[in-house]
Amino acid sequence: MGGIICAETVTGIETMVEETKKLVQKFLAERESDGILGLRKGDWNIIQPHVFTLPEELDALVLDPKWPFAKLAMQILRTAPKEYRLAVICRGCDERAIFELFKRNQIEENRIQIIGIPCSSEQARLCLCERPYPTKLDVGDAVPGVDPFEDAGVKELLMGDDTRRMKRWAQVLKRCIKCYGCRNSCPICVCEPCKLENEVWVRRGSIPTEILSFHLIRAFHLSDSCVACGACQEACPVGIPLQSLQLSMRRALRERYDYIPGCDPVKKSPILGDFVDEPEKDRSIPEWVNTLRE
Amino acid sequence: MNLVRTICPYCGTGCGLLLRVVDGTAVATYPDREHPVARGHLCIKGWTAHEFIHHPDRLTSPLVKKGDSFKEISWDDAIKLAMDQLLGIAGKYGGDAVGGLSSAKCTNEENYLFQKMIRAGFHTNNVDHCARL
Ligand code: SF4
Ligand code: SF4
Ligand code: SF4
Repeated sequence: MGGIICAETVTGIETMVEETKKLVQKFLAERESDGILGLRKGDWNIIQPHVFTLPEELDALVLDPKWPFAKLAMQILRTAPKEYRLAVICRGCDERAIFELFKRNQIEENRIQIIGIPCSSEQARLCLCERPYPTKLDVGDAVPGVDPFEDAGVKELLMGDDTRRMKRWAQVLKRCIKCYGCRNSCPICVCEPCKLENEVWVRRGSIPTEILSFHLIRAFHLSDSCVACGACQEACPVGIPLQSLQLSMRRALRERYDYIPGCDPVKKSPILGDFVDEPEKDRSIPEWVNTLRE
Repeated sequence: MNLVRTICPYCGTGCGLLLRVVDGTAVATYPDREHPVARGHLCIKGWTAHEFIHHPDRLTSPLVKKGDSFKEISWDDAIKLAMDQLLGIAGKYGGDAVGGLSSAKCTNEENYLFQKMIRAGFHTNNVDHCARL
């Protein structure tokens, strides 16, 4: 492996943790931010998110497990004084989510700094992640991404005709206990008030939810912004593969509009921006969205 | 920012959660991804666990019904009143005339002691808890 530091080997991980500590130390010393959001291994080796503010705390800094930070960072900034600045130890998806939050005026760019770390290929495989790295890495080296459409489970869900897919999704989605964990965990779900709390769309106190008015409202609201972080799916107590629900729209955006949510802090999605040049004038949604291309 | 690890008070499953506390007020709940039971999952009650903590409708002391209204009393007075009444009824009509409902919001040990009191103290099996209601 030569001089490459990667998240694949034990020494690689250890080196990455040490390098991150040094970086955080520098941030603290130079007062580049008021706190650094990361993971701390505390008493009884229990790991949880923590805002580091003192150099002596850094012994306890760890980088694993994956713990999505973007929404937490946004919420911390909301309740902090205006001048408070936060640095966040970001995986690829954290950075993508933060970029999308910039574009939606949910985080002021001058209040947040990103410390980029790569994910291991094991993590990328678990997340079916196409980009297991942020745009700029501060430690370690990137591993290649995974093509989610190659995954057997994804194929099973997205392949076949409408009727077959609708039936399969209906089966999966009827397990929903309407905990709102997907909405609460999703870094992009920030609407106030949320349509899923509106009696017009979602009846209170009844489960299972209406697929069209619960799951598909959420899916469509995130169609141009889902950063494929998997936070929704990981929060789902009944194991609904929610991330896969977004895949077709993500692919349509990329292939037809050359747009990947969160991969650029400035470039806006065709829906948010002033995009006028339809790739196919009479049909903006390509046909293959309707079925998984073999 | 302060994240306080705790256990969801709503049912006997005991999911781990993290409360975000700002200036002494719990403002948000997050699932604890490291918790062995919950493993980062919560139900809707867990997700909203921070909401009742500072809610104005929350009862913060025992209430005793006097006529048509409730009156706040101290814990000492409430325990004494309950014991006097329960012992009185049990003494007159037998242990099966009383019963106890415990709570999933209490610890294992508290629930153990509670059923012990009802079973061994009042000699009745009339004991249950809120998570089965
Ligand atoms: S979604 Fe990608 S960037 Fe995020 S944790 Fe998983 S592998 Fe890493
Ligand atoms: S929908 Fe799911 S995968 Fe997409 S951004 Fe939200 S939490 Fe992440
Ligand atoms: S996290 Fe899962 S169970 Fe909860 S509301 Fe979302 S889909 Fe339903």
